[in-house]
Amino acid sequence: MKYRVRVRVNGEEYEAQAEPHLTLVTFLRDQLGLLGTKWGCGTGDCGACTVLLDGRPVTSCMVLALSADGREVTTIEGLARDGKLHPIQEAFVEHGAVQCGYCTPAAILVAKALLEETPSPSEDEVRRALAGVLCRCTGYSKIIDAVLAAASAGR
Amino acid sequence: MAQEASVIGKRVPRSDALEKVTGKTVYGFDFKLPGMLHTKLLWSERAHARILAIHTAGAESLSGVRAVVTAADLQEGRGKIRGVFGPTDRWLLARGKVRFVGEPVAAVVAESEELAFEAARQIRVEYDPLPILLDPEEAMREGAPWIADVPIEASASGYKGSARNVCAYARLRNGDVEAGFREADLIHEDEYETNMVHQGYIEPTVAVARAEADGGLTIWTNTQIPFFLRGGIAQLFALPLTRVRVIATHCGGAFGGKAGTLCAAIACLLARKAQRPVRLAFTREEELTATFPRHPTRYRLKMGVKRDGTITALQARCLQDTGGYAGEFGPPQASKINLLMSAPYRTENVDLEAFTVLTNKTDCGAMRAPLGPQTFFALESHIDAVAERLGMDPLDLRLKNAREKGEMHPTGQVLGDLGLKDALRAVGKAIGWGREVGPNRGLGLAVGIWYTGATLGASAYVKLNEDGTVGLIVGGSDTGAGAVFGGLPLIVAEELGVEPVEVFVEQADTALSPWDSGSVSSRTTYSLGNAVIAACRDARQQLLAMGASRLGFPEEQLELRGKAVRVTAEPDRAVPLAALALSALVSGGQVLGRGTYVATKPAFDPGRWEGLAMSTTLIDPAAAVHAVEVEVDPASGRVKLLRYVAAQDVGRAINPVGVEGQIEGAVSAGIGQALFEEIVFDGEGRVLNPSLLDYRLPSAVDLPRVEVLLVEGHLGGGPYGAKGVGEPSGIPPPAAIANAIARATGVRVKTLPLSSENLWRALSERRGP
Repeated sequence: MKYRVRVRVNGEEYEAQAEPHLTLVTFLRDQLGLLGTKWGCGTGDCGACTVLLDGRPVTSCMVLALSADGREVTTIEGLARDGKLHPIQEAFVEHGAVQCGYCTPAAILVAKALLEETPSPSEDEVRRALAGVLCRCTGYSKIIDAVLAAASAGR
Repeated sequence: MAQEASVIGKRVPRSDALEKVTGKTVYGFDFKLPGMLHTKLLWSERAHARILAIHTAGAESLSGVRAVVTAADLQEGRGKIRGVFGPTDRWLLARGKVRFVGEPVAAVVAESEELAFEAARQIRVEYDPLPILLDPEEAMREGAPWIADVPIEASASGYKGSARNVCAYARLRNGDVEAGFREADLIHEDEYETNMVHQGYIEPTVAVARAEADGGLTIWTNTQIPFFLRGGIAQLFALPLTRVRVIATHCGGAFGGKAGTLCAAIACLLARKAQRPVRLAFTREEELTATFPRHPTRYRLKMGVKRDGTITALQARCLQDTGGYAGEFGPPQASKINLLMSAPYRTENVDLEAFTVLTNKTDCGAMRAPLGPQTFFALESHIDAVAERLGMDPLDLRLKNAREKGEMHPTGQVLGDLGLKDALRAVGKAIGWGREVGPNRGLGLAVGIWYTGATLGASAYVKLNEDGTVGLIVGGSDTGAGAVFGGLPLIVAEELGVEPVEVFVEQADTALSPWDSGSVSSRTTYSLGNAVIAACRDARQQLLAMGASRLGFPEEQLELRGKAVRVTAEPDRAVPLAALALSALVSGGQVLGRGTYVATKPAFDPGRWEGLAMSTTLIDPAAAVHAVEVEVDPASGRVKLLRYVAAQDVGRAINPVGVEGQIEGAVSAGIGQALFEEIVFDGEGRVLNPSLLDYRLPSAVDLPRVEVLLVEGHLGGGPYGAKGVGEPSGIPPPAAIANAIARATGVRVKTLPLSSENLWRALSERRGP
């Protein structure tokens, strides 16, 4: 049995049919082809599938597609506008915050949510915001530097 | 070519950063083919049992199931996994018996992932249980059952003794260790034990395989070893080498865990049977239960020293628990333990033995600096304890004994330019070694020595595009570390006078790329970088010759700079590369460069080795020295890292932002191993914590900011003097933190991890009941 789901993703309206157990990550990746949302564990522990749901970070493997009905989702594909990178994306490139890049979309989206709420965060606040996104490559320092740099550029 | 370095040493963004921050990168996990089937493996639930029967009819009868495979589908006389070091003792799918929980017994492909999961549940396996051996010392005991069913031959293991289940043995001896102990004023003996930890890459291991019309196979996978994988698959299926094509996808982290052949090989077996494209991705539970983690170890060390700190003798016995199989990476490591143990400190008299032992635990593999953190946790804990007993400063004791360039290692190898002393001094200065710290606080430091795995070859092609940009085609793959996309473009830019953004790198496709031995052993920037330099110099010679005839100056008076061939003395007299590239197409032909590199193995004395000596020399040994300030909460045993300084002897940093990133990442995994990471088994050999909730990787709130010190100038044989940088800093964290804890609390914990629980127990024991 499938149900209708209407969701706004990166500013565009989508209407689709989804089974009740379909997760948001699989909906985004398999039905909408938005592969920038990564799969890491399927149990909400690694954070790689983080997207913004009505502006708040959620692990999309722990959210059912149907529960996104009528809501707004932002994925990494929604950040750059007209070929211009979002300042957080720019800062990630500049500061060497990207290695394998598999956690990068999640880290950038978490940073976006943080900076919208707290435009001038302390290092500690950045660390706490990133705590749900695991990165095995960087040790986080350069990610934190990038977020702090994007914050100060935005001031 | 004595040219002033213009790009080397600059902080340049890696060439794949843009596609990664925009989410456009297609990783192995994202790769799809039309009509692709999905796989689920059936893993053994028993740690040690005979397989009596496998009933697959229930799974096969489900509609949408396209194939089920077991060991019966492996070709006669074949079916053993073949890795980087040749054939192994392990079947692709369990044959006759299972030797650890998580060993694949069968695999099923179906139209959907859900259906494959359901079908795997319908497969029934009848087992006859065998005694389970989880402890390496138990496994070695007289009368213990043979996990390999038969006694392991000395010809295969290098071991001639009577202990059971030893699948590799190596001994390194030099001088007279007994005389050394007689000469000593103090002899210190102790034992150390390390934990099984996982590589923890965030992207799971994945392969998509397609059976081709000619019987061949094409594989898209996030591998570290495209060419060895091609060889292994061809061998397994008795195919001509060139009927197998491996295309490396982008890779979401590897750290040694994607240097095997298991995942791709099972996908291939299914693709051949189903005659449809097949995708196999490991679940996180499977990753943490059944892929190839870091070996747990036990060490017994005995060191003799004189009152002034001179080390007179070192004796060690190490047990490396390799799990159910020697596997792809067990045997080479025994000799590596001895090689590393005797690397940092001067002593003539050594007797070092290492045993690789089978147990009924997960088949261990290679993880970032395999056996490095284990060996140096033991050695560096030990040397701190010796310093304490001597009443000597631990930094002074290390400086007194630290080896330098030109000294002879106990293998008989004359060492290259090791920056150990400079790294020790740099770290001591940065952390303020010797300063007073508050109550429950302590400073600790530790050394790690690693090398570059450069003995296997590398090759590269460059082509000058019609617009004067450069294409670089290599057989390596970027695991995420940045060697291919962050390092190589700078080398091309340097050699051909273009900007790094004008270099376009294509990573491995075995049908198109020249051969490379893989993104392993800190070798990519080093070996592949040298091959790229050679390829660029080939192209450069052609460009200079063309420029000479255009400009009317001899080649010696020309240089490549600013995307043109220029007269060195009159830089405005120039001809653009784009013009040369275009004219070459109609006259003389496109400018193509080719380059290869293989390191020369340093000379050593094989007579000092006994047993299976596979890792025998240290090419360009590099030192990592770390210092840490900790605060311990005596009530809970919780350790807080207040400061962390990491110095690494890098030779020459090609792209410092990437080098720092490698060091910071290595430190973070090392801190995880030191403080809380551990794969935990129950008495039946089942992994108790196969999720990232229960197997914790360090998060942003767990780690301090690492202060990185690049120690340059002790040059290696890599590009412009570089040494391998990816692994050394993964080594010292457990010992550095243990040493700091010992100084903060007076209690030395000799078993990893140094978790709150373990530390609390140790503190409680000292307090007494």
